Formats: sequence, structure tokens, C-alpha cells
Amino acid sequence: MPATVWKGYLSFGLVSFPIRLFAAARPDAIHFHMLHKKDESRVKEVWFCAEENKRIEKSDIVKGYEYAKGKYIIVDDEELKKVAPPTATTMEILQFVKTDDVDPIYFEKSYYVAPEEATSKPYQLFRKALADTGYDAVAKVTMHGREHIVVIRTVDDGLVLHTVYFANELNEGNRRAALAANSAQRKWHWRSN
Amino acid sequence: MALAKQLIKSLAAPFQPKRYIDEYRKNVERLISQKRRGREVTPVDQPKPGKVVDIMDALKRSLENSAKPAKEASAKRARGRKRKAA
Repeated sequence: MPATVWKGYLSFGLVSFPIRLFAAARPDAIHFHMLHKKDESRVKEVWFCAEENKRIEKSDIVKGYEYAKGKYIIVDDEELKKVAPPTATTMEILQFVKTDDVDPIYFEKSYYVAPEEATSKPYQLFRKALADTGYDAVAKVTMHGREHIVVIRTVDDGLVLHTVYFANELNEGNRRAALAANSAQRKWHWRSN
Repeated sequence: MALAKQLIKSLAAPFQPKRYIDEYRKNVERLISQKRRGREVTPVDQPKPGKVVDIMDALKRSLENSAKPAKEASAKRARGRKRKAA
């Protein structure tokens, strides 16, 4: 079985069924190793404390949030787990949208949605209902330390999920700059003709 | 199946990305501010979804509950009003 990225329930009204997410793609860039120039041996990353001027172990490291210059609040994983929203374990459907309603500019990453049980009736019912009506589901899920809005759509016999950016994550400034450059260039073309 | 389709249509709306926020981020920010002020951290409960015995029954009840898809937006508005009144 492929590596599970997320495991939990998909909740559809009062119906909820167990699912798993598998990555749909991975970047395939050429990989280099870092070597010591002199003897071409592999180099290692070490954690270093500048205050004590010595090497420290990973187990000596904690997470700190800088709330003012040089001032930190220490937060551990247990505490973060305690404040994870309900969508950490249950993916909640927020609404349905017509297929193709979401601009692809929002799409971030893609995952396959697999039913947890070998024969998952609710999964197939959900998939067929989406396919027949021509709708995609918009849901919320917490994974990788943040909450994501996702679009779930049918593909062949299954479901595919795309994480989408929040509206405030789209680079509006760049969009305006790019479109302004485009219209300026068009004007110049018209004038030169 | 008809019930599932009906439920989809009852929650159908144009995609409005501005309606959604990252609640995890909001919770972590609250955790940090509570720790800073030496307050107790408010935990968030995880739902415990039970086994669905009767899909039809659950779908039927879902339909009865979901008159409006703008659940999140209306909840936010209600909170805002309360604050103004106080």
C-alpha cells in the first residue's frame, strides 16, 4: 500500500466514512549530495547552539514562537495537538460547487482518496452522487500543521482531492502588475500599428 | 441515491473562497496568546464519528438539518452581532 498522507473520516451531512489520502504526484528533480570538497565524503547537518558555542542533539530542541524581538513562547507538539480543529480527524464538507467552478489557480496539491474498508458503500454512494449531479465537494481538513480547503472530484471509479489556497494566499499584487503590464503592451502595439 | 443527490443540491453554491479561514492557525495564535498571559490553554474537542448503521436514515436526517449551505458565514455574522450588542 502507498504511504498514507492523511487518515480520518469524510463527513457528508450525518454520514461519515473512513478514508485515506495518497499523494497523486511528486516532483522529480535531479538529486545531488553535499560532499566535503577535499575528500568527497558526505557531510552531515548538525544542530549548533550559538550561545554555548557547541553542538546539541535534536532532542534538545524545542519550538519557539517569537512574539517580540528575542522573546519566545515555547510550544510543544502535545499542545499543538490539543488545539487542532475537529478537521484534523474529520474532513468536513462545507458546500458543493459545479464541476470546473473553482479556478485552477487555487489548486495546490493533489491526492487520491481511498476508502478505508475494502467495500465502502458510503464512498461509492458519495462518488456516484457527485458524478451524476456534476458537482465537486468543497471540504476542510487539517494536515501538515495547517487547515486546508480542498476540492474533491470524481475520477474514474474513485475520488481525487486537491488542496486549494485560501483567498488571502493568492498574490493579488502580482496579478495586478502582470495584467497592467499586459494592457500597457497592448496599447503600445495598437499605437505602433 | 436520490437522497444523496438532494443533499448535494441543498449545499450547492458558487465557490466563495473568501468565506473560509484557517482555523488551525487561529487556534495556534490563541494558544500562544494564552500561554503568554499565563492562562490555561483551551483545548479543542475532536469529534468521535461512530459507525454509520443506516446510511439512508443518516442522509434523511442530514437533509432535514441542512436548509442553508452558508453555515459558516451565518455563524460568523451571529457572533459579530453579539459582540456589537455587548
